Amino acid sequence: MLILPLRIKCKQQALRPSCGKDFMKLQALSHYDHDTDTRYGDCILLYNATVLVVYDCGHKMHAEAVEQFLLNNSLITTIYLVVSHNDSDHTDGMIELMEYLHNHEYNVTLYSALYLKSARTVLKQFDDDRRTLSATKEHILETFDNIKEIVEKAEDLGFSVKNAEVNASFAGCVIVGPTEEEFSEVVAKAIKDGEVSHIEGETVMNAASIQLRCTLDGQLTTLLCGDASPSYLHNLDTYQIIQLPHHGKLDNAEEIFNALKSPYSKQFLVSDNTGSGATSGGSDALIEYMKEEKMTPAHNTRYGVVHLPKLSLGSAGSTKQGVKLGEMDSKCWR
Amino acid sequence: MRWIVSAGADIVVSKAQLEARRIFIAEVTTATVSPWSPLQIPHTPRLSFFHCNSTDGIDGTFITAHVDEVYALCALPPIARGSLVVANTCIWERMAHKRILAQLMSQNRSIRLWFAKQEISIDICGIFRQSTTLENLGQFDFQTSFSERELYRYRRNGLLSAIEKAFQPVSPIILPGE
Repeated sequence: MLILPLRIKCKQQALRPSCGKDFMKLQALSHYDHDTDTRYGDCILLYNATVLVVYDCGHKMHAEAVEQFLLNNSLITTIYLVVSHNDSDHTDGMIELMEYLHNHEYNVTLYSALYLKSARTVLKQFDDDRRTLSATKEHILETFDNIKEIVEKAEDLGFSVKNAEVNASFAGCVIVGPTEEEFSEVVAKAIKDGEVSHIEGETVMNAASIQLRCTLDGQLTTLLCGDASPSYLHNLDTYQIIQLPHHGKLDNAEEIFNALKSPYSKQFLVSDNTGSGATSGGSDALIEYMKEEKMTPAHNTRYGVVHLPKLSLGSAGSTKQGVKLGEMDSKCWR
Repeated sequence: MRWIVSAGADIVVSKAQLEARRIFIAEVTTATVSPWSPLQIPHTPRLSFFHCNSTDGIDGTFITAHVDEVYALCALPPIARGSLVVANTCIWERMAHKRILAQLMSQNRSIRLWFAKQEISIDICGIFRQSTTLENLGQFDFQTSFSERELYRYRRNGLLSAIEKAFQPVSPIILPGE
């Protein structure tokens, strides 16, 4: 009598992947109290019943939202924090969040680019014998000041701090980029004296954002990429959901669409909480472009918190059902 | 260009989808498109179609239909006498695209044929098929094949150039491995 209900439960889980307690889901946080002027920056949560991954935390309001999320999901005890890159709209809420997690005794691991570990590789990028390893390390710490502060804080709080190197995996997520070769080029450009450094028109801070692959609901392979340069994103066709980097900036998105064999069959995520400042950028042009190209609109945080996978059934862009144009009388129709 | 779509319920689906397909044609051709009208092949009442014309100056036919419907259409002189045919359909049976081209060339040696880009699928009998699928992807408001979506992506290059990018040319020569 006791076994039967358990069997039924397992069968339901097999039929409905979202029932699985280990399957990851995604929430991309938005703006607050209808305030679309403030630049809240990025904060994307990947979670199941017991684990939470926080990919960026760009504002203290996001930190508070994560705290509320944890209050509502009390089985979660293990937290992974990922800092995609040094920019403040990806890091500004991280210290407050870490203090909360410490005070509430969560088991926390921070993944960040620990560029000092690659200082020798960075040094090789310079065609300048006068540069020393110690000076290069100092420059790295000066240039990547937000990351330095976060890493030092995490160490002070007794958190585990790990280098976000390619193939590092946790909670079913895997860091897939950038490679040391790619980010060392970025770091070298960033610390060159007197140079406004850009890669593909982006500030170098953005270019080498940490890229995270995670599978949602056990089936939707998803790529989070911060503000990464499209040329550093690889194997794009293997993902079902792709975050369009740099808050949905159109030229970056177009590069990704062009790199994909079939952009119409993908879902796209945009974290656009860029506010209304003159230099805020954002996804206005992308939205128009996707409409003109008849693409399914991206899941965009400018309209509110994004939850993935979507619960609704049969939405355009997610179905693989269709009509094969084989012979009308074939006895072998599927 | 003449545009033909099978009247089968699985392809046309609804009046709204048929009209969306006409809007699509206007967008990829940047030309005026006539309303759809019924088309019947003589002596084959089982096969019925809709057709329309775009005023883009191209003497060709774009067909969206099951492969055996395409075969029947390509036997018609008005289609075979054009300069090109675009077959938005499955190859399904090995060499079906070559047979269709051979049929067209029996009436017109200089005709060119393009087929939709194919994927490999397995049917319920376990046979590998080269197929193309109409799917509800994007915001086209009708079911499109991969090649039709590619046609739309490249529409700004001009219709002929977009066809060359979005569809596969069929060669009269049988290449090793085909």
